[in-house]
Amino acid sequence: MIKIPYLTALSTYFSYGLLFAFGQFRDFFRKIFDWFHSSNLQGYAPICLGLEDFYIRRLYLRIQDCFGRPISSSPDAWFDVVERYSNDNNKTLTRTTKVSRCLNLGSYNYLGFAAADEYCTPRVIETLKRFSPSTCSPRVDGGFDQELRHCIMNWRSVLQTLLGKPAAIVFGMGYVTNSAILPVLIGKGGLIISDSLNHNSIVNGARGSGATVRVFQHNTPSHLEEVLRQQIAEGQPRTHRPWKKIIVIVEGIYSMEGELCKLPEIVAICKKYKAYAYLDEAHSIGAVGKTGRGVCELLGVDTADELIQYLKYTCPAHLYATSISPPAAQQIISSIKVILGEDGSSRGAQKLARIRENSNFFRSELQKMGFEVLGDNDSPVMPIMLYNPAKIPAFSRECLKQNVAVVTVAFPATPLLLARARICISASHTREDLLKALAVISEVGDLVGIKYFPAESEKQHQEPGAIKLE
Amino acid sequence: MKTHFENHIRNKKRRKAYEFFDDAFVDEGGRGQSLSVLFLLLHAGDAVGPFSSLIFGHREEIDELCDEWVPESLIPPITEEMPYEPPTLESAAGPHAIINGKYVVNFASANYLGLIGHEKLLESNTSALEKYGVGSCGPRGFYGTIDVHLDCEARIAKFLGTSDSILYSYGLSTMFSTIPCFCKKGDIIVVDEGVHWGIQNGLYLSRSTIVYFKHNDMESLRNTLEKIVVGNKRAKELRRYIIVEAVYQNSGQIAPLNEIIRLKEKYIFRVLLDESNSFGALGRSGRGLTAYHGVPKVDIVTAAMGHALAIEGGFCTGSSRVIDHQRLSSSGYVFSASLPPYLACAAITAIDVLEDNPTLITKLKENISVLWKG
Repeated sequence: MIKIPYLTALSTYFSYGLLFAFGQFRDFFRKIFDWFHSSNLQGYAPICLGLEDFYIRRLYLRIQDCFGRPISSSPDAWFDVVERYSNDNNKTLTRTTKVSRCLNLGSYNYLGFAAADEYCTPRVIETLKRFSPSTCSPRVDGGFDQELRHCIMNWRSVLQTLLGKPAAIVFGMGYVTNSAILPVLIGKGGLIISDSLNHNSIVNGARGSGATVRVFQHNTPSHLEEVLRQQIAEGQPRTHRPWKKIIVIVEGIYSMEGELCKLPEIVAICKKYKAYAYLDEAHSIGAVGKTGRGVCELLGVDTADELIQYLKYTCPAHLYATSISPPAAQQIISSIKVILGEDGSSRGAQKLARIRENSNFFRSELQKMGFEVLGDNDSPVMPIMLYNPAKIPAFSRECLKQNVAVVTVAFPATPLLLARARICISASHTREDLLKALAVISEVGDLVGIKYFPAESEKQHQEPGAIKLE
Repeated sequence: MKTHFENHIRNKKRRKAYEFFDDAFVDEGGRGQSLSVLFLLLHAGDAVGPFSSLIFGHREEIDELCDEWVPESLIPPITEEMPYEPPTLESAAGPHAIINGKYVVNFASANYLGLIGHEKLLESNTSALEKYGVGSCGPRGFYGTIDVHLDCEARIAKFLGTSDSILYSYGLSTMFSTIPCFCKKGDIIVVDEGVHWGIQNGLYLSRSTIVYFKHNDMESLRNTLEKIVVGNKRAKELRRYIIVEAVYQNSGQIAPLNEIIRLKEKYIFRVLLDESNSFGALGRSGRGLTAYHGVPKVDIVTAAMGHALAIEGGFCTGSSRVIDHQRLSSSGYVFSASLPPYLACAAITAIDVLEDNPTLITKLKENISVLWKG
């Protein structure tokens, strides 16, 4: 749990209050001006009523240039960020043809496969030429490539060695995976207990399933146990019949916190109370674990072959949606092969070691400088707390001026008071890149004022001083 | 069927009520009664939810209940037909393909314009793969916006004559993200019965009031709209939508768009049109159903590009207000990685090919009439 210093909380509330007041003021004048001009809605109800998009119009648009920055190269360790300018106070942004080469601390490129890779890219191009970019039909109706099948068979054996799971099913999009599997596995009369900070795709899938949804405190197995006990005892709402089944949903790495989930405790609780555990490893697979097996390397989770067969038979994303693009599937296969070392080199093991080294080095250095960094060791995602809304654009723009591209996140992706800058480390970052990033972030951190803890180097300077006095 | 649960809970409620009354009336004097009033006020919540005492006072009972509870199995038993494996494609899914080792004529892929295997597409794909790699490694808000995405959006908007468009990374997610973005709780949606799963899921997620009308039946639509609007003052302040598909995926029928537009203008509804199967197949140069019927622009048009354009992904197009709203409120756009850049390049090339070769559409029409005659 993040504990905000009182003064920071007060100043953050004050800043938001001020922004809200200014926004209301401007809305009031806008209403007066619009009274004189006729509306062009012609009897239709407006798409957004006044307060529904207040946050977007009056707060987000002011700092719009910090988000959605276009790039014109592959999202590797260094990339080209396209410069944009605005003539109407950030309401609309226009692209220019100028680009600036920046250090990429924002893309989810954990193992460095984003750029053209010597093993993967030729194979992907070959698959493209053989199978074209799409199969134009769902898997069931004939979109099942032989190469893909070969790949899936490979993948099965690959996943068996990688994760200890005997079967796999492929969907074309990550978001759809959760939204389509959950309604198939559980329906009305079932209970879903999900972590309070789960991703939007899980929330949508849970809502779409029709089951009752309850939430437990983020990464707190004791609260999960309490909720489970209470729910089993109470039964379904109003009728109090016993639940048909209970599924507990957690994520491997939480992308906004950088924390690993406490999987052993949670799975133990699930086993004790006969609930099913569902783990979403979107950010952890390939990135975490000694051999890239993800959070499951801590504890194996059994997946029966029949579950996959059942999903293939009933899952709507499998039956109605176009199958995955063949070059994308080939990229997945080739990159898994590299991770496992089946391409004949040790690049996979090197990448895994490098990302762990990079993450731990970067995190420890940031903490020494006095930043408040969240997340566990070994996690390549590290959020740096900003809190105050004014610091969000300041941090982002100052870093960009020095050619470091960072991602800043605010409400509604995070709680209102807890705005942060999220750094994603990649295996393709070299030690020099990291040192440059640390230097820039330290300078900008001093300028913006986000070093909430005392820097360790100051303490070290004090000690010799103390000894000297004595 | 009285289960142990139900008996237990009924007993609990009775016990609680008795305890309260004991406190209130068995105590001597006013002090006892005022204490019980205080007890009532403090524990008013408990009367509604008597189970909070379960947690604190009756651990053994909860343990018993938890031990007794038996969940259903995660999946129903596997029947005979489930292990069926679909046929394996061994070449590109073009008009002639190799499936399970045999040469076949392919009537299963939605490759309407035969763009699978087109050299220009493959060329642009290859150069994009070499420049940008495969994935975009991030959502649109966080460095996942590549210049080809913006170019593709502009190209689609120019092709269809609208102000702006927005790209989604998967065909199916287009509709089920767009609908909850515009239709909130309390809004009214009038939908055709025969819409596909993506739209049905979107409707469920939107939590609006949904009214179905008979599949492709304009009389039924008119009656439904009449019932909703006439005599219902509140309906006039709510947002109202009609959702139809241009060419229905499940039945193949074409929606009579001119009739729908006339009804929409009369009763003041916004129209959401899903042009997945008509984009590239109907209208002048494949501009879709609006060009086919010659009607003015529809409010919101979505399409999956996995059909005529032979690539993955989807887009939505409309006025700038509509598109800007989606950039921050559409969950499938904001919370998901963006479309791989090579597919965006392929989309631009596919639209260029489509615009330069109107004969593709004529050929498609001829083939359709041949099949119909037979």
